[in-house]
Amino acid sequence: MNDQAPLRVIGAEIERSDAHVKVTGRARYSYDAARPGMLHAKVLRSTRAHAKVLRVDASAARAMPGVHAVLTGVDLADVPMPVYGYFIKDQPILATDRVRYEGDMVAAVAAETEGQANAALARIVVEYEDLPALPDMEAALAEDAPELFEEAPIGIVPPYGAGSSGALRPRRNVCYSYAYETGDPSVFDECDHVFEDEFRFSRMHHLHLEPFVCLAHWKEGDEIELTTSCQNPFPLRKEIARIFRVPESRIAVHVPFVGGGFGSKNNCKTEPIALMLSRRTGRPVRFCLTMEEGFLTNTQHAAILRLKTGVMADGTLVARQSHVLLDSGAYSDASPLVAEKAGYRVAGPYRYKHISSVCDCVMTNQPPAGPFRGFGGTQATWASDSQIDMIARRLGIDPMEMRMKNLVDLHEPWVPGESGVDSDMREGLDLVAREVGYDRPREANRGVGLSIGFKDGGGVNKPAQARVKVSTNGDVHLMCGTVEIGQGARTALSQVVAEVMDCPLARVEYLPLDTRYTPFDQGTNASSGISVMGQAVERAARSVRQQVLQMAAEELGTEPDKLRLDNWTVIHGNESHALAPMIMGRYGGTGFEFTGDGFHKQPNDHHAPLETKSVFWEIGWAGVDLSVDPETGQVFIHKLVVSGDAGRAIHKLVCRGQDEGAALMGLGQALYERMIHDGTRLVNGEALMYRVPLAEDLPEVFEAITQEQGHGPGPFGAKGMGEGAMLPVASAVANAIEEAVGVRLTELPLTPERVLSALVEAGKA
Amino acid sequence: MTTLSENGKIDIAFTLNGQPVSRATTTSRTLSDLLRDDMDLKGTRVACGRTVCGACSVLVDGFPRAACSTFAFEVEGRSVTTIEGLEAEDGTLDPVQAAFAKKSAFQCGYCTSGMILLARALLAEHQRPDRETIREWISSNICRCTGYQLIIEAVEEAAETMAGKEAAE
Amino acid sequence: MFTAPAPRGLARSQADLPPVPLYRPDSVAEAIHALDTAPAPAALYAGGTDFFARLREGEAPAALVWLDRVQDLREVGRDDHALRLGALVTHHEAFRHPALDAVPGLAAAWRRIATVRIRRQATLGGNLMARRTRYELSILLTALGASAQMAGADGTIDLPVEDLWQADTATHPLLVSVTVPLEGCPRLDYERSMRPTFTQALAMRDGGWRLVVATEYLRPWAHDMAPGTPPAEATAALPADFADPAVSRAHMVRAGAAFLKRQIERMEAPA
Ligand SMILES: Cc1cc2nc3c(=O)[nH]c(=O)nc-3n(C[C@H](O)[C@H](O)[C@H](O)COP(=O)(O)OP(=O)(O)OC[C@H]3O[C@@H](n4cnc5c(N)ncnc54)[C@H](O)[C@@H]3O)c2cc1C
Ligand code: FES
Ligand code: FES
Repeated sequence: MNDQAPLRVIGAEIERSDAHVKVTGRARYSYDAARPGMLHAKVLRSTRAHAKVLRVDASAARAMPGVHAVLTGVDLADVPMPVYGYFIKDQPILATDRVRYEGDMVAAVAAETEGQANAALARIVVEYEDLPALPDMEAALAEDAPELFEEAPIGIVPPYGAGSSGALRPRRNVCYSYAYETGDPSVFDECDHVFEDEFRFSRMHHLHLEPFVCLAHWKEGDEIELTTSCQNPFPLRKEIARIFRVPESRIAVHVPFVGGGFGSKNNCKTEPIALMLSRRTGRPVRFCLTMEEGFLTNTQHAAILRLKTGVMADGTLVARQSHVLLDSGAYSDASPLVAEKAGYRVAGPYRYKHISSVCDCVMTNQPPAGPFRGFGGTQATWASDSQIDMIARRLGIDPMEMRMKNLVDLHEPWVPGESGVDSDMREGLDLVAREVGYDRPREANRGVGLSIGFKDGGGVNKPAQARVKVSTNGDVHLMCGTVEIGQGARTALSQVVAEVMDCPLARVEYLPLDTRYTPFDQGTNASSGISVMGQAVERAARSVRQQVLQMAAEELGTEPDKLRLDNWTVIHGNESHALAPMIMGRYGGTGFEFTGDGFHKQPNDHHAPLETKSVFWEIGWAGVDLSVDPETGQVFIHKLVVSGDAGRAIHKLVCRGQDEGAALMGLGQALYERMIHDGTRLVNGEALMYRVPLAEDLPEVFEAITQEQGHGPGPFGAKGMGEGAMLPVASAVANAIEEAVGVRLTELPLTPERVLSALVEAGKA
Repeated sequence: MTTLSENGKIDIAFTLNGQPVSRATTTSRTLSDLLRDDMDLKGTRVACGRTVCGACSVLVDGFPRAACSTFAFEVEGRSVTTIEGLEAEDGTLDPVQAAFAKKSAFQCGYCTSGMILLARALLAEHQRPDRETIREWISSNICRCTGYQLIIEAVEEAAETMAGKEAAE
Repeated sequence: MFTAPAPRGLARSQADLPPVPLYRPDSVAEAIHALDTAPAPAALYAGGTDFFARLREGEAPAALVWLDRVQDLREVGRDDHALRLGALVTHHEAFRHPALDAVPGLAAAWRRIATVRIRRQATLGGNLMARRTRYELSILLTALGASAQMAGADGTIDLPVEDLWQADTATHPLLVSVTVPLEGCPRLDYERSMRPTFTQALAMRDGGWRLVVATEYLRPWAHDMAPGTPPAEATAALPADFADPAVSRAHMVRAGAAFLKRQIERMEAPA
């Protein structure tokens, strides 16, 4: 509970620092970036799911009006290493000998206008020879399936700690496999019951509103200037340096406001093609994908999850084995990382004597899947916390009681070698159960379901650096690489600085992100903004503060700890001294700048399964009250309650907004939102047919409660937020459906058709 | 019949944020390109490009329209308000803008211009809308970040401010 | 039967439309004349809520015929025999028009189509002539046995609304209006709660009922039945290939029957 001492800026009811520019339309995004002489890029995409590229004839395209450059696979010969990917470098900048999904990029044009670029692309002739297509994981894993990559792409397995391991290409069409094991499998023999269940998870698209877009300029002397809508500018810089063999010091990546990403905007998307075209033409090149192309660029992972869980008759969990298959699509993108997370997290927030899990990334002829809010945790929670509920009901135990019995305690390491769990999960479950009316009597066909989503938070092996500068008159400059993608990082991190510096928030300026000057950060993901970068920022601010107080103490002939700051005056007892004249007196009339650096990285630790202990634990609790129409299978949500533990809420409305946004995304996933395929063909890949939740889809009552349990590692006890509330929604809905009508659905989305079929099968319709 | 253009060129005149403007453009120019690229009013965001998300909404004669899917020639003689036209001359925010800022009714901000203009039109038609009406109107546009609840609350807040102002006048 | 959309090699957009001649007719005759004399292919432009999606799908008109001034297309009226709705009538105008009272249930159904922003702009004509399975007026109007008045150089022809899906619009390209016959006092009930999978309209008039089922991806299926037909029997008549990747036939037969039963109850309940 929130028994923390009140702070001045942290937790205060203040406007976000990006409020004014966003409500007035002044905020600038990469989409808005333009330069004189800029050309526009467009690409030609494969219309085949899996084919050999026999011939690409682009001669007619080169002669089209307005065209400055045409690229096809052969042009990759100029590029030192024309493939990209996170662990596995398997995605070519343009397809060369093979296309692997409908939408694979085959040729690119830079022209004066997008229209001219498309007109030129339309003249390119591509000859294909179709190969058998693998639309889904079953097809890809079949005995006689063709190997999608005949030769092994370059890849790495990162160092893992106790119990974890990874393997490249362990079998046909599996590009990566992650495994985790702890405890002795023989404990299964002690179990009173062993339950095996299979779950299926459908695939969503991020549908970020700002498209994938960049403006690239390859200047003379191999100097690269890139403005891009991207969540991880530093790794992107590294990837570009590697692909084109240019020093990182010659690459400036600028990231203005990002109009949503939800995971999709990591690593290379539009950038390599735009850079190649810019190098060819010497002109700045803008490459903006349409939303329709967005669907073909990055998606969530569809998944099949098989769980085997051993339990005692009294509901005590003993052992869990799992096998997770992730549909990674045509290229690995972040799949190995997602596998790591899905495989690791699938045990959920409960205590086991033995856990063993394997997660395979299966290559198919679908658009590449990548990071998506929850990062494997969504898939894992769907299966994990559905099964807990199923087991409880099978044993005749109240599902809430079963959870309470098995939850890992506050401060108890989640698994051996891990950090202690930093939320009291029972407290959260109790809260949500109370709010949703878990104990209230219910009418027929009405049910309440609970669920807990659980993930390690803050990213693995993630360093963050920050710099805080204060100039003579007290203007504070915050420099760090966390991208403002909507999550409120600019505000929250500036608040941390303002709190430490005892100055008004308005005094703190979050400087534009430019990889040449901004201190290094691994990326804006894993809810790491506050928990990891926040610690770096806090340290930088404390360092500056200390320097200022030290100087003032010397000037005033006292000790720093006798002094305090108040909006750029120094308070000494009941005297106050303006700082500006003091600084000029000491450093001269031009003034001075105090600079503080901060760094945070969770220490490496070989006892921790992922090689570092989890920075924090992101937990989302959900309670759903719903009714089922047994004649039609329709589900009506009366009330959805979600809760996250912010540790300490730096900005309350930001926290609430994160949870509400995440929960509604989860509700869409639970009930209807999905990419629909006919074989390898995406049939709803545009905004009208792809249904995302609208305001009219809000449940009758929708509550997001921010807990402030105060155990977080971040500044002032804060933890990360933003993914947690998405995780438990689908399982909570499925759990509530079972309570309402006694049928269990194990495949998402929970459509009326699935509900009704299950009722019919059970003889209940 | 009027032939508005034989060769694809067309001159248009309209009122933009209260000021008369005229432009030589083409028949295929969209209103969003005209505003963003020809007039440098980049507060109008473009996302889906096909009338669905409403991020590009501007008010045409007071009602929201997707600027990405409106031809420039369609606003001939009409009055267009963009997000840039909502602030008073002295920079005072419109009550809807102020409420969105206060309630943090945005995250990435990409839907915000469109949502604010949509809410303006709503409040012009319904001084004290109930929640159902707000929901119905807000369902016109997509916000992928917020979960809509804070947007709805911001609209309620703006309605209250505006009603209070009216009562005071 | 479901057919998947063709794969697209190019990401077309508004930017692909070059400047083209633009005509603004004042009458149906002028509109037809403009279509005949403009560089081909010329496109009709009404509310524009679907038009830009068509550009993105690769349609490439060489001229635009902007219908907004054609007053004849805006008329709404009724007499004892028919309700007539002009093609340029927007959803917003339609569901508020008192003439719709001629068909109880029609306004209530129409009111739920699209969103507040779209309704003011989207027209009846565009909704039908876009010929997209996701659009619903074809469902409602097919249930009501409506006909479409299509104008061409040699005059106007009448087509059942359900035939618009496959109508060759070369000779009669312009939808002028839609006429709902009022014989037998038609009433309508529209079950839309299953979107985004399928919807179902039931029209009753003296002497006959008509059920129409459609999905996001399948054209409306119309089924005439005698009053009193058991719901399950009616939906069991769905064609064998009536299914798409989002919903199975079996589900529509089953849930559809449950809805149909409720629809009948609603419609037969004393007002
Ligand atoms: C966000 C959104 C939500 C929607 N939701 C729904 C919904 O819930 N239910 C639903 O039914 N629909 C829905 N729609 C579809 C909408 O109703 C149609 O787009 C609209 O009715 C089309 O009319 P328009 O005047 O805008 O057509 P336009 O875009 O102007 O034209 C569409 C097509 O029809 C042709 N055309 C137009 N008028 C005529 C005519 N008189 N004669 C011959 N051809 C003509 C045009 O040439 C063009 O090919 C939605 C659309 C959007 C964008
Ligand atoms: S961008 Fe115009 S409606 Fe989506
Ligand atoms: S704030 Fe990001 S889409 Fe609404």
